[in-house]
Amino acid sequence: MSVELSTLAVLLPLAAALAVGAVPRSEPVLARALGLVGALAELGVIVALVLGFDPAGAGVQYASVHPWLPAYGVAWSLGVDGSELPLLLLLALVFPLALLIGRQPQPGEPPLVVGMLGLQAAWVAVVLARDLVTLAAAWELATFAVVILLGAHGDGKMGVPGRTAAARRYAAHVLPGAAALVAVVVLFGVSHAHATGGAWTWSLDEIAALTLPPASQYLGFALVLVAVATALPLVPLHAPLPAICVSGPTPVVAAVLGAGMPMGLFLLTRVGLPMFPLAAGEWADPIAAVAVVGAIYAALVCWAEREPGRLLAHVAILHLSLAIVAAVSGSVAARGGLGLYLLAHGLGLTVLTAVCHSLRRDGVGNLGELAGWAAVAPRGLTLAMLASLVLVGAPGSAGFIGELGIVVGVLEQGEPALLRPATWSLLAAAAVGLGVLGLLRSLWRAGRGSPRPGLVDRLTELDLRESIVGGVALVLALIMGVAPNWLLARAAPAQQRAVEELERARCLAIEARNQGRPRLRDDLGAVCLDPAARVRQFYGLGGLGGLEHEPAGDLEVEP
Amino acid sequence: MAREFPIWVIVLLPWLAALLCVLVARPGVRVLGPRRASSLAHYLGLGASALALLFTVQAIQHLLAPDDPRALAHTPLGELIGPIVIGELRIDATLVADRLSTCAALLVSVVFVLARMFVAGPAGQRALGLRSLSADPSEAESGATVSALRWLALLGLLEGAALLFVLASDLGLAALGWALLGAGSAVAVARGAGDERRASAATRVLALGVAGDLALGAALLTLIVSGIGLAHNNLWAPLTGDHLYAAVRGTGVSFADLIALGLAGAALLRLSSVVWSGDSLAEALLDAVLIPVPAIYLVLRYQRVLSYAPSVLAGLLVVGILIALSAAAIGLVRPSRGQAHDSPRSGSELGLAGTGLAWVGLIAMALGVGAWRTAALLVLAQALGRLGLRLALLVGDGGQLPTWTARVGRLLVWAVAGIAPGLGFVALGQTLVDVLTRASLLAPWISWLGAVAVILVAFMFAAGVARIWYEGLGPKPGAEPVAGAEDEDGLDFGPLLLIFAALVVLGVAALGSWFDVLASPIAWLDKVLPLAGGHEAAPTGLREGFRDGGRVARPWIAGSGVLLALVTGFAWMWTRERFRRASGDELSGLSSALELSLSYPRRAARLLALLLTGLTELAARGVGRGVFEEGLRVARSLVRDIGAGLAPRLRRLSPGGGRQALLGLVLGLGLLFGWLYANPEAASVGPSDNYGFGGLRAKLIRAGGSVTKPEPGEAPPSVDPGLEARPPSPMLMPPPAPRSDGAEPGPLPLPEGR
Repeated sequence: MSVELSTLAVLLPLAAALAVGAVPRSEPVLARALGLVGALAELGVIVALVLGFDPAGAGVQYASVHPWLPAYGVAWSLGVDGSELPLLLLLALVFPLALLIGRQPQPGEPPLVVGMLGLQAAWVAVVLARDLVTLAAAWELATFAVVILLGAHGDGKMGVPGRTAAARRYAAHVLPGAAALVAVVVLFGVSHAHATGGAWTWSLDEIAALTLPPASQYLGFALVLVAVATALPLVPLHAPLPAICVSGPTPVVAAVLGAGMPMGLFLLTRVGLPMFPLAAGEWADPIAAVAVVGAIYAALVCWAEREPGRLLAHVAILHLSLAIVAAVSGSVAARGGLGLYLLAHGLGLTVLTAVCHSLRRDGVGNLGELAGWAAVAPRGLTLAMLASLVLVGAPGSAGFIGELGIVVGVLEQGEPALLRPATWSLLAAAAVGLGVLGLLRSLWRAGRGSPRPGLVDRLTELDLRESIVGGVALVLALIMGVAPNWLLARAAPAQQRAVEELERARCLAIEARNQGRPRLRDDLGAVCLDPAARVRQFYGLGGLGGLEHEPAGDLEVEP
Repeated sequence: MAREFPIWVIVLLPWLAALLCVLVARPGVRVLGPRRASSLAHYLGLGASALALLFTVQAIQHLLAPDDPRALAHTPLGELIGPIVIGELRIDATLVADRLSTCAALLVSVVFVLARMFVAGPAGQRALGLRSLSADPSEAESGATVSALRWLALLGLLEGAALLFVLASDLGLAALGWALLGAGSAVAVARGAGDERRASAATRVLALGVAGDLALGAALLTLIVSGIGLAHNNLWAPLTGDHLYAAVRGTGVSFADLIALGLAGAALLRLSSVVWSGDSLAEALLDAVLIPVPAIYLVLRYQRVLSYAPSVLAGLLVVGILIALSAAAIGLVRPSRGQAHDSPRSGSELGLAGTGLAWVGLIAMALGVGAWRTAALLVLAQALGRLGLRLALLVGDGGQLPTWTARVGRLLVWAVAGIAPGLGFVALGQTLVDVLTRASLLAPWISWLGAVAVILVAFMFAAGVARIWYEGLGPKPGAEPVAGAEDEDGLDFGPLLLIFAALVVLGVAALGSWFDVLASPIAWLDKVLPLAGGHEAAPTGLREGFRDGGRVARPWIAGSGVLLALVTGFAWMWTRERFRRASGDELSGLSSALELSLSYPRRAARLLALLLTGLTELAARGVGRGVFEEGLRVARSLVRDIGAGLAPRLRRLSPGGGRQALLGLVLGLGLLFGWLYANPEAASVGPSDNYGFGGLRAKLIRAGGSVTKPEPGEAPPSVDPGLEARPPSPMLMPPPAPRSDGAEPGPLPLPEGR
């Protein structure tokens, strides 16, 4: 039964997409309803998968392996090891919510729902994949799907002005990243063949048992970084994001911001860190620095930007910066907090996207024009402010536990992956706090006071459908914040294993750094009995924690 | 181990009442009609608050049991909602009731019961935008009733949040109550959409609230990182002292200083938002209890941390002196431009804000000298006094008070203003004694400065309250009695009388405790609020000159009390002379001077805001759009334009076909030789004159030769005689031939002996 469940999680959205595709274009409401049913069924499957996951059980559960291209060692291999449960849940939650927001589809339009469901299937496959080719194929599919969906109904006589250009620009940014991932696949295939004398495999578990020479590690990690930096996106490669947030279709923008950006982070933690541990360790600080600089930049923009779509894009970039620091920190606690943080990210941004795009539909391109929004459309403003509170980590929400877990985890266990864990985590957290404060200020200023003349006619209240979506998303964020244990307990052992594996792999890479060719770990023998100590020794680090306690010289210790 | 007691009920009761009010507001008004729905909501709210009060009292009774000193605790659904644990972070859903938390909960509950009693009266109904419950409501009032019920729900939400904060067993759970109070305060101050003036005030309250949240978050983080953790109990763990004295690596700052800064900053930021509370009932509760009680409770709960941070305490004393003096002056003088120019406030609002903030300054001074019990006394006086004053203002509603209400109101306002023997007077006197007699890290004279500041603040505070009375509430001499002046309602009058009685009884009891005649009303807290430091050499210990054994010498206490009684009494009389027949320009000279002095910080704040705005605009427009988004396009256009401009000139300079070929040949050869120079091993096939340029270098090195010429007189380097006898290196061995069956060739042979 478990085998079918992981495959079912991939195939169900595809089946729903096919069913929706069969609905005549003259029935857009039926298509959307059918799509929603498919997304809800997918939610049910993933919830069953999460609840059925046994944290004390085998490392990889729900394994489903079928030969795909046996001559080349490619297999359709899916499975869950526990660390990806929060992301699976995020995908399952964001898509049904995203399908319900945005303007009503018109008869005759190609249904966006089909593409959305395909995108969900691709991303679920990326998360569940235990084979690099499967993962990369799903990633490429998702990338193309996003580009096509972003350009849907663009320009032309009835289309949205600027949408095609934005999608084209987005494609120009993300497609090189997708190509880089293909290069990573090739690199691993060749490396594995070199190490094993010609055996082909792309199984992630087997590839993770490879220890690549330093040059290959740097090359491979650089390629992964290209894919990740364009998918996240990292500043300064974020230029297309504001454009698509301004003109893209609302459900697609919600999916890209809420789930697509965390997928970039997933690629980093699934492929980048475990496969290239030496390069990942040495580049962790620069990556964290770039994320923090991006966060500070985005925080400043959040205080000044008035265009709702652009503001939305910068809030997303800002919020994910702390997650990047958590991902590269190699801390178990930070990874535990990261899951909840990403859930808060997805839910909060879905609500914000609904509200910001409702403003755009009413022709509001400048929040500064909106004095008196609260008097005219209080629901939208309230939801946006509550979503901002979820993002900033208001106590009681998933964001609070996630953010606190990340900062504490990075501070306590951030070394030796990060040389300055306190600097990066505190700066990123402060930037997130101040930036979202800027967003709150903009919303508050737009909402307060008496409405400007003509605003009542111009602005419409968020409709019931979108209000319910917002309410549900916020309640979910609240539930995750109050009772997160059921998810944390299932993911924690896998996080612990992943970090231990990362340390071991890094240690082995250090020991084998003078080797000129890829080696299997078994060939290297038991050279890393205490990986953490060896890594610390290699980097010349002393002590045990990120923030050590030093007794102050001139103060008496209490007896 | 703590004893089980259903403490969560105390928090959930007001929240349930609030939830019912929100959910059934509209259908309830439709089904029951405005009057019945409103009555039901009032009874529901009053019942919830009264039940919460009863549970709190019962908890206190349990704690009073002499045979069991353990605290009470409650963890609902422990199986389902276990503690949240991520690494070092642990947040528990347990509530605890000990002496400090139950006292704070009792104060919140009592004030809310009084407020809900008041709400049912005519003045309370008016404050909610309703007509009296005794009048027949019309259908047009349905909307107003729904709105009023929502306000009642907000009150319930805030009450539950305050109770959650003071009863939570750890700071992580308490942060939920803290954040709810901050956000709810902004909503209460905004009142409704459309009022620009209230929106402006609410913006400031929101900003201060969020800043307070961030400061609390910083303290919370430092507590975890220091190793103490979030649970209140951990403060008394064996190693907590070591953790507090430990320094953060690379900074030299102790964890105690950092935590104390965060906590004191959070409390002060939250307390300063009382300045913007207006004259509605919800804002009265914010001013009286919802903001001060949690903020001071936070500091008192973590007083052990503050005891380890005397430098923060010294800073708190100085900040308290500055806040108290400036706010009391503003409260009395009421400069017309004392506030931002775009949100002019009425005189009475300024008076209320100034006196409220002055009291906050006094609390900060008491905390700054480590006088925790005095701070608790000040909070008690603040809660009851401010509630009484504001309820009296609501009854007056800008006009004259009815006869008996006016008489009680005058006595009440005396007690609030610090006239002996009210609780306000005792609290002021205790502050004076503590500031004067306790040491500070700064200098010995700072105590005298603080004492003078307390006396000045007492004068201005009493005069400011008196001005509020004479200008806003008191009967004007010679004025005609207003219609309905005799028409009094018990629900208006009763709470005022109860508050007055409480202020006097508690004041007399506290006064008696100075001379060991009576027990102090806060004597129960002595055990949990020791004096800071606790020993003679402590940074905030008692100064030698004022000591009589282990306590302050009685003459200093008596002298301070007499002096303060004279000062506040004189202040009231002084104000009466000036403001009984107020014309508006009684303090115009002082007002101008104060406006001038206030203009400088205002300008500095504007300049700072301008700079920050410029920075953010630069990021959003200049860097964001200019460089990241439009930069490529601009660069492309620029290159294209430059290319178009240079193309004709380049075309003129371009050589003919033969010259182009020659040029290409020269460049190609240059590249080739350059590459050969950079890669000597590639050039080793060619002849060379020296070893530095390819040539024989690689061969000689392989043969064991040296690339350096021997010095004169030195023997030339010799080739290892055994080199020729060695077997060829495996590196130079030919690769194995492929096997005929297509399988992998076998491994290379190892050298002999290995």
